[in-house]
Amino acid sequence: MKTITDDDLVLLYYGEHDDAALAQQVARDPELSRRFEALCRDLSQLDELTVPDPGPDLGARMWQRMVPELAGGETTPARESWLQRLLRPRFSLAGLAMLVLVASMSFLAGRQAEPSLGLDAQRLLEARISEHLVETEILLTHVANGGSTGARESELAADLLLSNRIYRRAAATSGQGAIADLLNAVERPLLQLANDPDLGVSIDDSLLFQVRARSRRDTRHPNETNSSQEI
Amino acid sequence: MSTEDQQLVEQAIAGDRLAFRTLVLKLSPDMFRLACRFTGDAAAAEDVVQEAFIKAYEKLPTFKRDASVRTWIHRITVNTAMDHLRREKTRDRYERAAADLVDDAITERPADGQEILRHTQSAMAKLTEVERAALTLRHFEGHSIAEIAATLDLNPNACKQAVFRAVRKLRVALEPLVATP
Repeated sequence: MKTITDDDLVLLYYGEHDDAALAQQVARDPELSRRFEALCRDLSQLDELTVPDPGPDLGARMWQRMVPELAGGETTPARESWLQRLLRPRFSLAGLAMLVLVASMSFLAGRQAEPSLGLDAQRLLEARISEHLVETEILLTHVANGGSTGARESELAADLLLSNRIYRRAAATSGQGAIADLLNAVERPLLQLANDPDLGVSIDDSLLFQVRARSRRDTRHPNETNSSQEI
Repeated sequence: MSTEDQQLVEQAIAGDRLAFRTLVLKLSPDMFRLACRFTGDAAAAEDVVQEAFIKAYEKLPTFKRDASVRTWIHRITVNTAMDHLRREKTRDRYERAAADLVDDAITERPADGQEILRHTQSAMAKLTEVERAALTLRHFEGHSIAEIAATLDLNPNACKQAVFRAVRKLRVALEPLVATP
């Protein structure tokens, strides 16, 4: 009789053993049964290893992190720093509060001549706004090209609208009037898409051009962004 | 592949980035879980998933339309996770991070349960990339040896041996802690 090895029992455990009669043989033989039960007990320990819950917004976070890569044509993704994660405003009231705080810090730092604090915050704010504009551009281009405007687009528009309002306020607070104006202009089509996408939304070509120009110009990793660049 | 996935990937290939976004939203949780099994670290898993989706986006023109987009992205995620492990040489980091991951799970267990859990995690961390991949895909993802071999670009026997080695190492690690009946 062929010797039954532990590897045979592993295959049996995973339902991959060629010998269909092996299960019966194990069941009939007390020693094999004991060995098989021990294997089951050991492998069941693996099931105790849990995976953390990434949260309901994982997909949205992944997409937001990908957007600069897709627009910029770079292939190496940037790893987010803790500060960047904290600054991510969408889907998080804490993040929203943090963004407002950073915008205020930036403003105050500028006033109090402490440029390092202000510049870091400013740079991160600029990077976030750039990513937001790339994402907005994707949606607006889709609509302008006659793409579908259903629940998917409406949901995205609602998300972007929330971000847009936060960024607009932060830009205005930190003295970036031009970008605040652009974000203000973007708000209207986003609002229409979020609330009533079926009515049809016309996207002004010049607005799309401005968004595209701005997002193309500014899309780069935060640590590569020139802090002195006007936004 | 579902009709919806088929439509989405067709739209994405045609340049509709919103369609690809929908795929990202839909598939991210499964890819994260898979990547986390490989890396043992949530932040690293997010990096792997992000990188995998970017690769998938760039490779969209090469996607075979009769294939499953989920399987395709799953495979890209596996390869990205293995690249990550090789690149980062994360064994020590994995072990530390994994200990953090299971902290919540172990706090309400009896002492011997905690010890077993730590040994299990440690044993997983000490596996080679191929062994870890083979055992993860077999045990947690329920893939057949043949499927795993195709994913990892191994011959089926080599893949089977990798599973055997992984199980042996796990059992050796647990042996001092688990009472023999």
